[in-house]
Formats: sequence, C-alpha cells, structure tokens
Amino acid sequence: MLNQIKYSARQNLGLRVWAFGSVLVLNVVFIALGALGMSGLAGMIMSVMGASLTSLALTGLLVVIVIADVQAFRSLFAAPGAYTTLLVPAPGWKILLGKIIPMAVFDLAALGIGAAGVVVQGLSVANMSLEWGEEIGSLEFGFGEWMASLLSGAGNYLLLIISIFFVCALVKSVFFRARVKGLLGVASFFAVYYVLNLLDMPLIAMAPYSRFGPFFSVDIAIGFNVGMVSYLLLMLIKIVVLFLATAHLLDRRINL
Amino acid sequence: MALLTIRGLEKRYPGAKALNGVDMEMEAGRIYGLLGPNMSGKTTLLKTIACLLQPDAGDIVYPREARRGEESKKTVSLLPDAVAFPTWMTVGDAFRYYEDMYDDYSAERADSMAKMLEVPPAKRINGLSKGMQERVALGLAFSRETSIYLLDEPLGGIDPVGKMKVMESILAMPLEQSSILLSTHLVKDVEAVFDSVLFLSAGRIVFSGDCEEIRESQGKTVEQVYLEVFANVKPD
Repeated sequence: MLNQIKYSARQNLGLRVWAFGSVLVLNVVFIALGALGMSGLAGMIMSVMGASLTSLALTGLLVVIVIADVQAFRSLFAAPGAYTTLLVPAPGWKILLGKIIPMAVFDLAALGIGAAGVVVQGLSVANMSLEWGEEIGSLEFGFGEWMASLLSGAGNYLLLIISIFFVCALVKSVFFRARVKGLLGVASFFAVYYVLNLLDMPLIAMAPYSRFGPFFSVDIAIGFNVGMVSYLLLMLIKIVVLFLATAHLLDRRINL
Repeated sequence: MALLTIRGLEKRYPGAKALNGVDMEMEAGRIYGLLGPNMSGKTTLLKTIACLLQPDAGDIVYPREARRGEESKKTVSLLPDAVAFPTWMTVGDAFRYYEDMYDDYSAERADSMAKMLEVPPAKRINGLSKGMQERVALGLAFSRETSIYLLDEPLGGIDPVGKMKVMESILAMPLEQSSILLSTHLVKDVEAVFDSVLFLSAGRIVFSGDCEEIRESQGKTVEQVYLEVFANVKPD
C-alpha cells in the first residue's frame, strides 16, 4: 500500500500543487496590499481585483482538480493504465484507497488553507467598506442600488455557469486526449473569467454609493462563495460519490 | 487434468463477433502458441480469460476451480498488448508497484527475470525503447508465481537480440504447476518454444496440435501448417 500511495502522490499531485500555489500567492499578495492600507478608488480597485482574482483562482483550482480527477478516473478504467488496477485480484475499495489517500489529504489541506485566506481577505474587504462608509456618512439605499447589487451578484453566478461550461469542455477534451485543446480551454477560461470580472466592476460603479455600503461586501462575498462552495461541493462529491461509486464500478469490472 | 478449460466461449462487439464458440484446454507444464492473423480474436480471448471482458456465452474453468473475478485473477498473469505503467516510473518503481499489488509476487523471480531480460532498473520507462518497454512488461508478468501466464504479442517491436532474450526467459520459467498461452502472428520467430499450438480464425479454434507431432508426423514446421490452414480458412 505504501508504494501505491507514493506513486499515486507523484502521479496526481503535481497539477494540484501548481494550482493551489497560485491561489496561495494571490491571497498573500492581495492581503499584503490590503495591509498597506490603500484607500479610495485605488483601494477599491485593488479589493475588487483581489476578490476577482482570488475567486478566479479558486475556480481555476476547481477546474484543475476536476481535470486531475478525470485523469485519475480514466487511468482506473481506460486501457492501458487500467491494466494496473483491473487485473489486480483485490476488492475495488482496497485498490482505490492507495490511489485516493494522497489526493484527499492534499485537497482537504488546500481547502483549509484556502478557506482561511478567503476569510482573512473577506474581513479586510469588509473593513475597508466600513471605513469608506464612515467617510461618506449615512446613506440611503434605493431601488437602483439594490438592482446594481443583484445584477452584480447575478454576474458572478453567470461566471459560475460559464465556468461549468468550460469545465465540461475540458473534461471532454481530457477524454479525447487532446491536451493542447485542454490547455487552450484553461487559457480561454481564465481570459473570459477575468474579462467578465472586469466588466463586473463598472456595474458596481454605475450604482451610486452601493460600492460603499454592505452590498459591496455581499457582492464580493458571493464571488468568494461561488468558488468556495463549488470547491467544497467537489470535495464532498469526491469523497462520497467518486470513492464509493468508483470502488463499486471497479468491483464490477474486477468481477466480470 | 486440465489447468484451464474453455467451452463454447463467445464474445460479441457491436457489429462483430470476436469469439465464436472457442473450445480449448490447457495443461500444466506446457507452452501454448495462440496463432492467428490480425482480427482473429486473439487479444479478445486473452482479455476474456483475464476477466477484462465479459463473455456473452460459454464457460471458463480456472485452476483450483477459482470463481471468475477476484479469485480467478489470482490464477492468471496477463502481459497486455500495450505498456500499462505510467511512463514517469522507473523500471524499479514498476516492479515495486507490482510487489504492492500482487500477493503472489516473487522478488527472487523478478530479480532473475530482470537480469535475464537485461532491463535497467534505474531508467525511466519513457526513456526506454518500445522493445525494452515490452521486456519490462514481460518481466513484470513473470514476476508473479501463478498458474496461467497470458502473453499478448510479447515480441512486437523487439529486435532479434531482444527476441532471443524473451525466448530464453520464457523457456526459463518453471512450469511444473503452470502454463503459458502466448499469442502472436510472428509464427516463425517463436515456434521453437511452443509445445502446442492453437490456430484461431474468426473467433474459432480451427486447428490445434502438439508441435512435436506436427513436425514428426507431417514433416512440416508450424509455420508451414499455419500458412496451409490460413490459406484455406475464410471468416464466416
């Protein structure tokens, strides 16, 4: 089992370490910028950039994990990689355990560190909003502000939907072994996501005062949560569905 | 008593019948050649015995009457038609991986096979030629102490010196309680190692016999008989 765990780690962790490293660097950079105490429009832009990039990176991490999982899944069932699992006279869960332990440990650690980073950055953004709120004084929120916040939130959900399409395209490209196409998919996904995030900024700015109120934080929180919730869901799906279903499918294949 | 018995084995793919009622028996201590042209069903037969494919009809009785599935896999070692290991692994990694996966792995036998086949343990698999990768795969298949060894085209892509080493390693296998079924269409290259041959055409065994008998009674080589048989047999 030890050798299996070691080889599974070498096979499956490279892409994850790279992706998670990017998320961590982005978090550190933007938390540092927040700590520098940038204020006014520059501070807001940095906050939105930070939120967008962190959210983007989290979703990127999600995509990377999906790719890595699909590759690992393929290697369990599709020849020739599958010969190393399907020929083994052992129950599916036993074969799978050695393969999944490194991934599960890494994903849970990444989730913990990523969540901590997002909380810190969320607090930083919220704090900044409160400071601006105090500067402007008491403000009233009307229909326009509500709509701006809703649209902005909807924009973020739109990004999620788009990201799901990209994930599907990537999964498809992985299945067809078109790695170049897969990489192009990742690149275009990052580009589209970032452009849409930039488009989101004027939408916030269009509504007077809304950027200074609690809605700003809500909007950013939505952005964060979309990434985090998707990530968390993937963890749960992997642990519950991927493990049990794959073990079951392996058993069926082993006992053909 | 037969080590492996197959009766009426059938396997269909969409639009094609790969195995069309295969009947055969394997006895311990013998090397069987499974010979036939491309698309005759050789790989399908080996994969069906190794439980990688589900047969549509027929029976396979495994050694020690093992139940098909997890139990029967303990009795069969397959050398697949393609390299199955992640190419970033070193040869030594692949052997250690096998050791982890199979209870019947024999370190002693793996060492002797690796030496005989001259596979470099420290080299990465992706740095090896196709022929050397196949030698590694054969070493892995033979590192298990099991009953039936299924070798799917073990000589494809191997140079003449490599072929000689593969043949030597096959002949060096202790087969008191086991036997080898080797599929190939390179009849001339390997006929010297066979004890018996089975000719497969369109998913059916169309000829089987003992090699010594073929040579003595008919005064022909296995390759000559092969050419005669396949010049006359047409698929259904």
